[in-house]
Parts: sequence; C-alpha cells; structure tokens
Amino acid sequence: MDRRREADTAIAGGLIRIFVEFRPALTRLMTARGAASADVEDLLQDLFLKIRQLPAEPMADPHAYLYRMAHNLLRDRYRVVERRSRREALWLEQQPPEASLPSSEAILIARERLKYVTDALGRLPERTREIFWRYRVESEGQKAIAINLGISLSAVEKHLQRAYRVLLETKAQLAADSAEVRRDAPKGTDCDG
Amino acid sequence: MLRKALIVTADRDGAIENAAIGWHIRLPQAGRREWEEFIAWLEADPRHRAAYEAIAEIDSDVDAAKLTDYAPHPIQAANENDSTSNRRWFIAGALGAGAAAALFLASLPAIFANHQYQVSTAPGQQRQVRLPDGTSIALNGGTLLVLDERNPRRATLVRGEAMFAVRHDSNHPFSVVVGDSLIEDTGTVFNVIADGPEQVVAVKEGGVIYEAGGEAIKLGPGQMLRSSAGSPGLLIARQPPNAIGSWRAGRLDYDQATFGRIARDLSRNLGVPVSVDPSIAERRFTGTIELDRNPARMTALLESLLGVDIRQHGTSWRMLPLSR
Repeated sequence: MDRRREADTAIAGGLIRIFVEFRPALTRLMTARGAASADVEDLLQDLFLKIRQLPAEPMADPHAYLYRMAHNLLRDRYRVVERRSRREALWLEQQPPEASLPSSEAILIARERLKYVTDALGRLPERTREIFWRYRVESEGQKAIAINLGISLSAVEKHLQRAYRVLLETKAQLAADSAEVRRDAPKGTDCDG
Repeated sequence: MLRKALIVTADRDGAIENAAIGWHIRLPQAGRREWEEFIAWLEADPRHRAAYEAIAEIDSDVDAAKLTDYAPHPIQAANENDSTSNRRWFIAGALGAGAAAALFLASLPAIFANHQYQVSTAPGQQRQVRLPDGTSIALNGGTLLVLDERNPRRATLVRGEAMFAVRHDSNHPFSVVVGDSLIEDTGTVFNVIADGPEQVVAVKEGGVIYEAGGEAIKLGPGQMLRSSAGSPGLLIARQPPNAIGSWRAGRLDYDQATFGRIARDLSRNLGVPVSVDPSIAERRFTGTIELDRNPARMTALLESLLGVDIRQHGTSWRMLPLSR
C-alpha cells in the first residue's frame, strides 16, 4: 500500500480496502475492551455496512477514524442493553397506580444514579462544572470549548479530568454506603442486593 | 451498575484511574499511534480495562441522569432564589400507593451556567418563544427547553415536544440537542419530541441533519425519524407536511398509528396521563383527532373514533376494549 496515500487521504473505496486489512487491529481494540468474539464479529459487520454508505471524501488518518468508529459502536451496543432496563422502568412508571409496579431494584438504581451524578457535579467548582456540562451534555468538542472560553485545550482537559475523578469518587462512596446498608440490614428484610 | 462499581471500589488504584480518565478524554482527538498506545495500555493489565469501563459507565450514568423524568403531575419548584443551595430540585408528586416519589433533575443547566435559562410548560399548556435571531419555538405541554443567552443558535430539548421555525443562516446552523443526538439545520420548520427513551424528529419545510451514535442522517420535508432506546435501528417514515406539528392547530393526524402511540401523544397534548390496555395497544388508527380541553367531549370523541371504552382512574385515563 502506498504510504503517502495511506497517510493523507482515503476515499470510500480506499477506506473499505483499509478496513479489510485493518480488521485484525480493530478486533484487537474491541477484544482489549473486553468484547466477546461473537459481538466483535457483529460490530465489525455493522462498521463495514456504515463505511459502505459513506460519501467519497478525503480523510486524514483513516486508521484513527476506524478505531474511533469501532469504539463508538462498542459503546452504543453497551448502551442499548442499558437503556432497555431504564426504558422498562420509565414505561412502568407511566402506568396507572394499580398496574404492576416496577421492580424496586430498577427504580433504586435509576435514583441512586441520578443522585450520585448530581451530588458529584454539585461538588465541582463552577468553571469545571460548566466545562463538563458543555462537553458531556451539550456535545461541544474540547477544542470548541477551549476557543469559546478563551482557554487552552490542556486546561479544558484538566477540568474534565477533575470532573471524572469526582464522579468516580462519589459513585464509589455511594456504592460503599449501599453495600454497608445491605450488609447491616436485619435478616428477613427484602434487601436484594 | 453499582454492583460493578463495587468491584472497582475494592481495588481502586488512583494512578490507574487517572490514566483511564486521561485516555478517555484524549481518545476523541487521538491519532492512529495514540489509539495503538491505548490498546497496549488496555492489554497491559486487566485492571486497566476495568478502570476504563468504569469511566465509560460514568458517561452512561450522566446520560441517564439527563433523561430521568417520572412526573405526569404538575411539578413545583424549590425556592428559586436560594443562593445557599447549589441545587434546585423539582419534586414530582407520588404516582400512587407504593410508588416512590422521584426526583426530577430539571434545572441543572440553569444552575451550572448562569447564561443558560429554561423555558418550560406545565402538562397540557402550550407556549411560544421567539429567539433574538428570529427563530421561533412553539412548546407543547410538559416540555422543558434549555436555551443559552450566549449562543442563540442552540437549544436543548430535555423533554416534551417543540416545533422549531428556524431563521436561515448557513454560517451558523441552528442545532437542537436531544439526549445523545444533535439535530442541525440551516433554515427549516421541524418538530421534535423527546419522550423518555424515544425521540421523534419530523421536518415540515427545509431540511435537518440528525446526528447520533456516529451517524448523520439527512431528513427532508415530509420525512420523520424515530429513535427508540431498546431498538437498535432508526425508523424513517413519511408524514405529510401538513400533519407535522398539527398539534399547534389543535389536532393530531394519524396514518396507521398504534393506540399505544396515540395514548402517549394524548398524554402530552392534554396534560392528562392516558394509558392503554395491552390487549388493544397494537391496534391501528388512521384519521384525525381534534383535541378538546373539555374532558367529557374529548373522551366521547375518542371512544367513538377509536372504538374503545375510556375509564378514569383518579386523574388518569385508560383506554379499554369495548365490553360486549
């Protein structure tokens, strides 16, 4: 493969060729993330179909592009599974009172999650909160945030790092507290963990 | 989800966590070589993979928190001027015996960025907003929209339904954020519904680009897209442009819509929770429902149009098959 062309551009036909050669690398990425091999095959198939539909366009770093797309598909697949249980909880909430109630676990998980996210964000300095909000909720790119706020990209990265650290800590604390409550609950109580 | 976090908790290593966070933040901009360094890092130690998964889960949790909304009843705000508290909670009424009151995260954006403000409607209420650029937005009942003084070309539809009539400016496309999706347009009239796990976008005039999960889809006049969490695909269908946003003219136009869908639309438009008996939820209806605020007239019309019985349970309505 001509290295110059590989480095500089890839049109749709070329991208498919790169994809075919690059399958082992993409498989390696998904396996490293912990995907089962049946899922990997499935996801690569989806990726292939998507690439085929792309309009012909020059592209810098097609390999990074493929890694990113594969990674996003993996993330979305995981989310579909998650959303199903959330959707069920929401659907059940909308039924009249005498209909079957949602499993208490589904509601608890949703509420705990809401609580820890808001607790964590509440602990952040205002600037950090704002940057995290723009990035995660408003889907603004890191570079765009840096430009719009007049700060450097690495400053944006530091704010985001702080936000994620606090979210992780808050979540771990809540999980630890819940575990204690369940451990200490008297026998006979319905405290399915 | 929290069970997994427990495993991570037991074995937390600050350095590994920081590395995972660092990777997560850099990946969107990463070049080929950085991606390959990321893969090598994941493979170097099983704790690395677990740490990264924990971060990915955080993103999921934040998205879930955005969408949480359990309130079919009118909601009341906490003290708006409480400067000592960093949070504002909208507390929804209890749904009934045994069901717990839920927290609705309504004004998170308004707290965290002073230049943002919200526009909202109570169930069954409609409202119109005009933005400084000339764009106008009509909100249906039970809708929450967040706008930004510093960026008049962006709106976030947290929940509900809104019809956007966007002023054309090809240099500054107008965009609407709904959950994980971005709807971008350059001068268009389109309707958006954010209903828990479901999103619907329909274009009346002009065109929009709908972006989600790495895909971008162009929609033109008369095209509608429905995205439903739990189903992997997107549904793209035709809808006559006149039918789009017909709620503004006080009517709902349907072509082979299920009773389940009609019930959800009625809930949103009437401000009354409307549910449907599972045995008839998949029945279909084609025609127009003229909305009527008078409950007796509305239920009578629905019963004759749809061939159902409507029973009231407290403030909510339920559609049942006709008893013979």
